[in-house]
Amino acid sequence: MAMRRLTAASMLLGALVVAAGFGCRGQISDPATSSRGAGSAPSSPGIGAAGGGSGVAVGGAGGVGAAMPGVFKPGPASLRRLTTTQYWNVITDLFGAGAPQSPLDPDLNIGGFFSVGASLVSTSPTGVDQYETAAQQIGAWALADMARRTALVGCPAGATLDQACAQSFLTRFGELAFRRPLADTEVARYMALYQVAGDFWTGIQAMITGLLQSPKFLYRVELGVPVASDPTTRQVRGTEMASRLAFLLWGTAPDSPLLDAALQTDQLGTPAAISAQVTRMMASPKARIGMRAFFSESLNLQDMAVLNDPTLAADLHEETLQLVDDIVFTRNASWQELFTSPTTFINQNLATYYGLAAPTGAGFVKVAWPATSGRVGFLGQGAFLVATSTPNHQSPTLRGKSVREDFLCQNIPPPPPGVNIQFPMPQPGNPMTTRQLLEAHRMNAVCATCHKFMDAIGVAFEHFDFQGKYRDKDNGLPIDTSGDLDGAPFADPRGLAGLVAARPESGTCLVRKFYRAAVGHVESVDEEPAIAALDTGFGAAGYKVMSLVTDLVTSDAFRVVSASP
Amino acid sequence: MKTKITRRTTLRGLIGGAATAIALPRLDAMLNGNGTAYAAGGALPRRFGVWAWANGAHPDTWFPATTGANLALPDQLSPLEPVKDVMMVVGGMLVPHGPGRGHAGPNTQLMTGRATTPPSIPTGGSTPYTASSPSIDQLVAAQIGMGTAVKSLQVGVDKNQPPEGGTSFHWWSHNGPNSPNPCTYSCRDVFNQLFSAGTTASPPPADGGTNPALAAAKLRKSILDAVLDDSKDLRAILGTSDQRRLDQHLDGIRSIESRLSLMGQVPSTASANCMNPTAPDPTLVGAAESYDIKGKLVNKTMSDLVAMALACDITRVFVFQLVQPGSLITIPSLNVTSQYHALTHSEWTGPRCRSVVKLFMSELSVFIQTLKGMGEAGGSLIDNCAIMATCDCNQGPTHGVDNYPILTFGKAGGLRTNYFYKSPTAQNACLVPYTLATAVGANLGTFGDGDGTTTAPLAALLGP
Repeated sequence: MAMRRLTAASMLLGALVVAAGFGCRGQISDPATSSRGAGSAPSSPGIGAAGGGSGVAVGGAGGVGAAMPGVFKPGPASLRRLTTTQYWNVITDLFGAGAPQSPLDPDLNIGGFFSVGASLVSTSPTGVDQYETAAQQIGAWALADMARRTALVGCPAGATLDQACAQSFLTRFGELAFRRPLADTEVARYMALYQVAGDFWTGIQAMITGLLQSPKFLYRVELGVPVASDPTTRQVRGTEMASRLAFLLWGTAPDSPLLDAALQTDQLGTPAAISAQVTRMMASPKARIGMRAFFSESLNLQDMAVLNDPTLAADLHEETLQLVDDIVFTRNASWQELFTSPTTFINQNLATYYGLAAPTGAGFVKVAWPATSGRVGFLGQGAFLVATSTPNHQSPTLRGKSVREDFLCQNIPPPPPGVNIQFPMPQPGNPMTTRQLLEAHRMNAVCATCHKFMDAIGVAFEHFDFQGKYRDKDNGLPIDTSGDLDGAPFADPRGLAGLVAARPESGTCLVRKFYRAAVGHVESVDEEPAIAALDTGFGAAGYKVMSLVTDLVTSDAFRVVSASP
Repeated sequence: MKTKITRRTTLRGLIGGAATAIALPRLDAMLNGNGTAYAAGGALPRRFGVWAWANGAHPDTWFPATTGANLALPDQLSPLEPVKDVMMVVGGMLVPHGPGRGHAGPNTQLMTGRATTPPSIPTGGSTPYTASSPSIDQLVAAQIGMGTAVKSLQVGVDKNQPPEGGTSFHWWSHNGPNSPNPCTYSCRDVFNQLFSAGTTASPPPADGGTNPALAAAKLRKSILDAVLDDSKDLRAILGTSDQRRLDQHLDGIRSIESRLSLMGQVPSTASANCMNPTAPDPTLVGAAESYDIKGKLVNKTMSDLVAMALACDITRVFVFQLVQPGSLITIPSLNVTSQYHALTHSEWTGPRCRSVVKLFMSELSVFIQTLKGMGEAGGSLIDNCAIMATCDCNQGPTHGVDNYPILTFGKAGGLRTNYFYKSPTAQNACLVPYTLATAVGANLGTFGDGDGTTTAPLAALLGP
């Protein structure tokens, strides 16, 4: 991702560094200045300089200069606008596949996740226009076909198409659209619109067009109900919890069984009740599809433009999601296998790309990496190697930065302003490897403070070019892939992958990201205890994502919110 | 009409062939003897615009060699020769609040006079830089755009976008933090927004505009009324920040309603050349693809649409983003086959990057020529415009904020033209948009903060 090196792409924590301007001081991953909760093990040697030279710390955004957190306090619940993906998923649920799609206001990516941006973004005037256009087109399409509209309205065969039929449609459709039963005033309001329209079908269309433009449809209203014992917190339960679960796990609105459960006596108000639904939901194919958005954003699979090959980019994206699917859903295996998996998934196009034997069918099949490939896990896949390259060059710096930031949740500050970060080119007649060229970073004291954390691990991938393809030599010279991760030596990318998998931060990092996506905001320091507890549980469960999902959605972190500011 | 450019010339760029729904031109007889205002006494509208390119310009081949009057355009500016009589080059100015935010800072700092949010180092897994306050186009629109059907218009041409999440990385216009005004990339969508609601003299065209016809407008308004009504109980339970977000959404609904109420009416302030253009081909959509495929056609069509929207007084404020900040545009015809942004970091001073900047200036020239060619009141539409054209950083590799490349176009309020103003003291660059805002009649009072604080227009940018 070429842009990421140019911009302040990372989190920088610690007042020390801010005060000092730019640069990495001391050792990364100093728990003493970390915002992470208790229970996170010290991760690197040489951390004795606590409070002195250490500046770059791991952890969440809210933890600037934070001491060890104390008691968990939930974050605020904000209106969350449906992401574009969620909007069209819901439309498909409501009307069936094939509705005409039109542009919508762009999603906002905050903290790596559109689900976080959804809590902050405001809709532009043009976006409001676009919601109207979409609603008009969907309404017209849904009623244009006789069979489709009869099924949609759902009145008994032979029933008169009258006000009673319209109201029964409104009650049923409105509950799915608003993700809760309509209030009497709402029924009256939309039935009044039906009356104004004049005839039955025009009236149905007007109601649909209106409901799809209502902020109650376009934004998730999950503000909780007051807790008597604590006026600062509110509990999410009932249909609001159903909505939270459905959008997190399925990427769409709750179905009727989930809404029914939410409306029954315990109203998804206990961990046991939630757990029962989660078991059902995670077993549904919708979970495999719905959680793709999370993994795709979490693993930065969106940007492979340097390939100039959309088909290959899509196949590489799919390869990674198939690996994730296999680990998380098919085998319920350890998340560490993301880094250490000896197998991957390829189709015919990727077989050519990797130089492997082609599968017979058109789909993806599971294959083992040959030992000679040097590849293992996600860090051996094209998706990682391409997304961390510039259009013309593989970049050990970007690759090392991605390992730190995306998988260990550490933070590397951007280069100081005004520095020309043009990649050094070898002089004619004096061929050098990329590794040798990067020595410039090490020789310059200002550059070295940060680059030693990136370049020293990024060199592991030097056998793979900017398109993620294997190369034997670099500029005609032999390639040295050895390095160290905070003092732990490795000889090649497989060695580095094993070290990353073994670091507790690689588990914590997934917990932190899943937490963000689930609650829809970047965590504050008051939420660190929840992340620490989930992290402990994740490790105890052998880093099984299914277990993390259940732990999170049944925890207070997901069930309690603070009063909205 | 006194200009040689006719409305037929103007429409030629619109896809779809001959215009089929042409309004009767307003007659010059309606103007007073000076050709400056309508006989009824209303002043001609003034328009404010921002036109943006990305990744900077090369000072040695972009800035003219000599300051003052009578521009001698260097190579990169040479495509603007046909419009230099309505153009001013501004150099030597400093965008406030410093560098350090890549391509997400200077643009927003120039447009708001304030540091981005967050102010320095982002907190999050990506770069969520956003504006701290409304951008100047929105401040101007709040003063001069409220009576028009479309308070402000944002259009884009090339959609190759950086992967960063922050709104400042994508959009020049903001209502506030995390509240951008994204550009519309489909020419047909822009057309529908401006014309198919029937804001000009003719009824909406029957060829597939997505809005219902005039006859359906009443029901459409009833639906919007119901949605507004339905939002009241929701609003009542929200915290203040969510209330603000909802209010902005509801304002958007009200603005559709006010547009519906203007249906079929020609604003009395519309220019003689106002007419309903023909609907552009729906495939004319700015995309994340090679600029060679249809970039120039989209640019010309968007230029025509904006020009007509201004002539019809449908809008008075626009932002035109040829590309997004830190643009990843590819232009194989200039041998730029992979992301331009990366190229600016590997060979900025080479011929390829210089040729891209020159292409940007050429596309800008197409836009300005379109405005200039639109006759208005014995002169040209551009006479009543104040437009700033600039980019997201001074030079691609360093993301700097000094000696910022800025152009202005138009003569509204007596702006200098055919002139190179070079700041002797690295003045606050916000003086430029502030002066343009004043030139179109907006009184912004104090704009920006810190070294971006701006309280008065810069007299040196105004003619003698």
